[in-house]
Amino acid sequence: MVPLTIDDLAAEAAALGLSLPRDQLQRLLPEVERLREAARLLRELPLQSDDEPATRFSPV
Amino acid sequence: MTPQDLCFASAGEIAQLVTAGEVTARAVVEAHLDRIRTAGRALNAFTAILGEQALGDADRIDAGVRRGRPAGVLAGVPVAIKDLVDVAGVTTTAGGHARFHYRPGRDAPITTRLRDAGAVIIGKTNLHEFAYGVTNVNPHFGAVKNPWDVTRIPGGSSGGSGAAVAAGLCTGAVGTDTGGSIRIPSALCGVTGIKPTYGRVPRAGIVPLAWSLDHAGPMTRTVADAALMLQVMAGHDPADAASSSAPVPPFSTLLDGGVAGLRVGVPRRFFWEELDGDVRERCDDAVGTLRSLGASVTEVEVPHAAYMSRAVAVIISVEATAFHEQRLRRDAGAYGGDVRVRLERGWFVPGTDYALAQRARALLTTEILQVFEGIDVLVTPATPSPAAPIEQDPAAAAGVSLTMSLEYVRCTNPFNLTGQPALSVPCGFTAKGLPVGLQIIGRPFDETTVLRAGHAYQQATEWHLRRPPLDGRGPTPEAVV
Repeated sequence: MVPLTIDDLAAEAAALGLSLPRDQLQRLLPEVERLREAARLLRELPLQSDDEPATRFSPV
Repeated sequence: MTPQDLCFASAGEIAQLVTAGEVTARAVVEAHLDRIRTAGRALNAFTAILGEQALGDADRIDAGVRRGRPAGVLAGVPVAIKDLVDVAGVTTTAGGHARFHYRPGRDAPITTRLRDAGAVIIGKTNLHEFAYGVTNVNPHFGAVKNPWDVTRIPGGSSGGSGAAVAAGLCTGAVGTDTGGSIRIPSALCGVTGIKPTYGRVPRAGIVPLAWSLDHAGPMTRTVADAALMLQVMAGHDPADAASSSAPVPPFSTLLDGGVAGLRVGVPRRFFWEELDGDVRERCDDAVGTLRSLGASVTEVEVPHAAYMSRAVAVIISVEATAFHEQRLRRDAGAYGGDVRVRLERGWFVPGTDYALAQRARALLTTEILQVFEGIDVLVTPATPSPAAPIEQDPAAAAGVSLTMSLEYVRCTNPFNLTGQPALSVPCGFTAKGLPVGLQIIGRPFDETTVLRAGHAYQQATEWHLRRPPLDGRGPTPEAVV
């Protein structure tokens, strides 16, 4: 996975209409990277199967 | 009974004494208010103390008792409410900036239910800002201190509730739990807390953190009191779309029966890895106690356990940001440093990742329920480590909060994902005198078995009866933040 840079994050923020100062982007960078890594790892799960349980948005 | 005895009496004892007219609800409430103003001052556990209102409510209960009216199963029991939950006429701060406060005109349904059962609402407890963190270092209301060592965190986000119960400032408290916010402060403060099944307790009138992960439940000193409070708080309410219509068992009458033959699963991988040494020993001892009481203990494997926290991280980030979106765009600077980062990171999670995490949730829930085909309860440490020191440097506090959360929620947030009931009970102390909690997890809507296991453990141990070294024996308040 290509590492996320501050400039990447600034561009994404601008696209979202957000004006975030650079020091805040710096604080956000490791958290955003962590969430993207979490999502990348979730894609390792065997979800693409014929018997995948119906997705529910509440747990029980 | 001395005032101090009243402050550490159980809910069941207090209700019995008040109902019998042997002690007045006023005397109970006065004892607690006095303790809040003395021993409790060092803890900063409350955002509001409802002294006059509580005394008025106590007087009404006493008048009813004198007239022979049924007083309720919580008659005269002082209960504190996490300041995320509405109490009529009292500002709900959610631990946030004053610009975000509001004053509800009516109680949350769970507040009403507690009052109807005779509980006296004694105050509102301090919390991690908007319930989004575990340190309870709150930038607007100050840090809550752990009663066992006031230089340390109480855990969170229901840290004020945990500290207040542990210190005898109330008999029970309401907490909420999105990733461990009832169980973590229960473990770190040495009290008992249950996150019931998702949907068991209605959340109307509670400021959300993440709709599909949020739960509310009781925090008490004993499992018996948790059962009593839970049966009062539980049950359908149409104002919460996720509220369940499942019948509510009379939990407090189903506590006895022990654990002989109970199938206890111990998931050594992931949940029992990378633990503080004292935490591991105390939790191992607790498993040994359950075995000695007749439980059948086996090691089990929770498939993909490490993925559960990852799914929670993605889901909570998106849902919390969605709830706060307008405030965040308008006034981001009003949030504390750590909570602002947690909220702003949610902007950058694609919708596909959120849907992916929800798909993963369905798979992971199915997998863990398959594990439960061979067991009745799962046991893990509630937290991998005991209470950490409060970060003294405000500039570093936000960063510490962000990293600390990842560690403390590791054993708890998987069960917010699956919605299973999960209880934390005190199971000993570290060499430094810090409490350790054992987590007992059950099948959805089987709080009865979870509570029965916890009660059997407390009948065989005395960890839950220990009192923190306040009253001048702990560090002085001036020595801490």
